[in-house]
Amino acid sequence: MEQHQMGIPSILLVEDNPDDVLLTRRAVRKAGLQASLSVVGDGDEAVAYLDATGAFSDRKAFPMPSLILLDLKLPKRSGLEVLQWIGKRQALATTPVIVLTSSTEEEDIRQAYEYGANSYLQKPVAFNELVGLLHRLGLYWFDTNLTAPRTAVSS
Amino acid sequence: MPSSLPKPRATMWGVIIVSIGVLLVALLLVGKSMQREAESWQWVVHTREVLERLQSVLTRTSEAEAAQRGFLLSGAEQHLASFRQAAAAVPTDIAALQQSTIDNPTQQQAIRTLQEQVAQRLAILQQALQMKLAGEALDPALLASGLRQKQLILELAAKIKAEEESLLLIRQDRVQHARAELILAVGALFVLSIGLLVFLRVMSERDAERLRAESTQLKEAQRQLREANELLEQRIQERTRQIADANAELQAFAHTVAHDLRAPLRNVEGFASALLEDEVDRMSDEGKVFAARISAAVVRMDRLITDLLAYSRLSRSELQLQRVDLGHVMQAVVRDLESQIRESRAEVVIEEPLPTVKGNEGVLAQIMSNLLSNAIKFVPPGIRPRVHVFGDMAEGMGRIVVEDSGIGIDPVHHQRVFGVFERLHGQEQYPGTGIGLAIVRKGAERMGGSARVENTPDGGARFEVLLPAV
Repeated sequence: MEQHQMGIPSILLVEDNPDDVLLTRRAVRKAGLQASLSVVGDGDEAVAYLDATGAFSDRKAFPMPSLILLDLKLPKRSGLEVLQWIGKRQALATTPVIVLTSSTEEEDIRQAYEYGANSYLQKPVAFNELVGLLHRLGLYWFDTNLTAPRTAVSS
Repeated sequence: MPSSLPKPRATMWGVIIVSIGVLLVALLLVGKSMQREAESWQWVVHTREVLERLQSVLTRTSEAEAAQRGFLLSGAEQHLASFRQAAAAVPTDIAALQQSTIDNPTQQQAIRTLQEQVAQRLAILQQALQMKLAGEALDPALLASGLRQKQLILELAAKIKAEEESLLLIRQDRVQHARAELILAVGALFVLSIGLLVFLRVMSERDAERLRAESTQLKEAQRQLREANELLEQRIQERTRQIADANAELQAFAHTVAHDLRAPLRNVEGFASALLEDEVDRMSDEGKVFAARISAAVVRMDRLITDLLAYSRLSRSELQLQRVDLGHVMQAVVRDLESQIRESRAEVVIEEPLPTVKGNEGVLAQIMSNLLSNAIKFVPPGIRPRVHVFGDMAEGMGRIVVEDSGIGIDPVHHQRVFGVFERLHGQEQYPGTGIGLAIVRKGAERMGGSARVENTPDGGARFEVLLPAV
């Protein structure tokens, strides 16, 4: 896991494909995002991380994310199930969840929004476009968009 | 089968009506026979009456003669009174006789003669009486003429009687005949009635039998129909399930393609880009070209997947049809293709207003986008594309036309261009996936419309899409 600096926002990337993880890390760096990146490999891990249970009980090493980048196609618990789970957590009510996935199938998009996604982005096939997308994402969600102060969370 | 059911009923009614007619005629005949028999009998009675009256005339005459003779012998007053009584009754009797034979001229004639003879005879008797009363002696000539007269009367009466008796014979014969006829008619009527009853019974038996048979056949046919229906229903359910399964599989397949097939592509492109950025100093120029080509190929494949998914979505998903203003759709499409239009310096003229049709907005946008980008793309190198978009309403259909000044399409390929993966040009010349026009036609057809292409007089292509009006 990465070193987390205090004060800068953190992103939780839920992604099972190691190549995608590698390339996304690279794109985050290239996009010049001022954010730390934590990665979990499946839906169950995402839930454990957000719930600070099991291997993720240390909130210092695994800080609550300011933004969640969620793939839909995941082993164990699917992205949609993670969305449903998040929707029921009062503590996560103010955390933006952005779906970042390959599919542009209407059904996927509709369901993602139904389950409470804040945004739906398709992973671009060209790496440079991914860089551009993450750059714009940073501009919008970190520099433009206002979020409510997080309510006290009992870990 | 169904037509033969009312037919026996019709013949049945026919038979019944004919039977009733025959019975009526038979009854009429019997009635007539009875009447004739009664009439014949009347005549027999009549003939007997005539004979009786004739006898009565003779008897009275004889009585008058006997009374006259008694007086002549005894001179007693009572004989005289008897004579007068009998003589007075004779004309009445003869008148009655005359009345009875009024129908027979021969007898009338004979009776008139009889009347005269009887009158003469009575006159002779009277004359002898007068002579006796006057105390004169009896004239023998008078007696002799009286006897002759009596003889004449008897002969005449015998003639009349013989005539009447021959009539009686004929009339009795007639009565016999009428009776035989009557008996025959009644017998025939009886036989006919019995026959009719038997016939009707047999007919109704047969009718019932046929009805039973037909009812059985009908039930059998109904059962078979029901079974066939059930089988069909089963098959339909089976097929529907199979189709639903196939559709679900197709959905899953599309889902897999959308998610899983793209991931490795993206990674290939990502790493090729990484090579070009991080390892650029250590790569030969050829290596850089290869890495760039890897990236380009991957991007093309991704577009192919995107188009294929869009095409297959047209087949597998239900299209929600609503009122769509093609003018609005076209504006959005032009906005989306802005960079392509700018790069090619294309001149796009949209002739407002465009028709409002019944369709799916997303699919319509895809169709218009594909047509517009094709019109801009397929131009000879270095030529500025000119696109003319217009539309109208005709015969309940909205029509939209996209006309370009491009390279056109050889008429032999006018059908082929709408097929999936059909391409007329190399990738280097005009890049593309070969699915755009397939989406145009499939999309138009899914919305109840159609798409076709022809060449413009100056060689460009002219695509026409027809869609149902609102």
